[in-house]
Amino acid sequence: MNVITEVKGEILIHRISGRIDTATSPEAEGKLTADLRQGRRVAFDMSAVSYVSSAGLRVVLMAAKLARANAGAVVLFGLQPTVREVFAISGFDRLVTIREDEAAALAALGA
Amino acid sequence: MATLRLLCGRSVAEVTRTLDAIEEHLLEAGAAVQDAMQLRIVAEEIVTNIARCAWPAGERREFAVELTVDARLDGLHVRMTTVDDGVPFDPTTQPTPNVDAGLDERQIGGLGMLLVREMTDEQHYAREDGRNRFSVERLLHRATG
Repeated sequence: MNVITEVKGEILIHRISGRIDTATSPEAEGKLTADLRQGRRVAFDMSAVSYVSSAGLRVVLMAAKLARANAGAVVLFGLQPTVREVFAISGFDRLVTIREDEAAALAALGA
Repeated sequence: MATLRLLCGRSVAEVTRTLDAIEEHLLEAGAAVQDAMQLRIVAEEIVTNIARCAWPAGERREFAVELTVDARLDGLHVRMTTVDDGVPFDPTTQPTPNVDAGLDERQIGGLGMLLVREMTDEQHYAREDGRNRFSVERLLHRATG
């Protein structure tokens, strides 16, 4: 998996590509949660993420908890169908903020 | 009927190799990309659980994975079976995580088996001859039109 980070004013957008699974979740955790420990407002662009297993859900849960604990915020957008289903089955679509697209995600972060 | 049989070790590399073989086998048998990916998620949850938890940490072990794909009129009948000689563990009786719990209450445990249950049609467990035998089945319907 790969992460490219864009800065939009106060907000960071992590553009993630590939799979977040057992093999890649340690790397994903490292790259995706550091900013949230600093209380940043962060958007995860999931449009190029083709696969998320429970290992990936763990990373998302950690991100959400870190955001709350550090007065930051995290919003996911652009979820692909298989990924969307995993979030729905696990109830994670009610646990973290998900938006359809980048504009809606930035709006949710108060851009 | 196309059958894939292999032995999987406990390392991340071994698990990945097994999951790659499963996904490839499904695609070659005619499964749609999304279906193969869903079944890879199912396989990952099952295989990772065995690799991590079936034996004490550090022990080199292997377990059997079998995947059969049977093309019938109504679609592809997929069955995935794992056999391991680790600690007795019945995935079908694990507690379901509370999917309505809020962020503070939400825990990590049980998510994998929840995905397995929801993404397959049937799950069967038996303990025989000192081995866990767990199989899941899923019918991949033919796309119409």
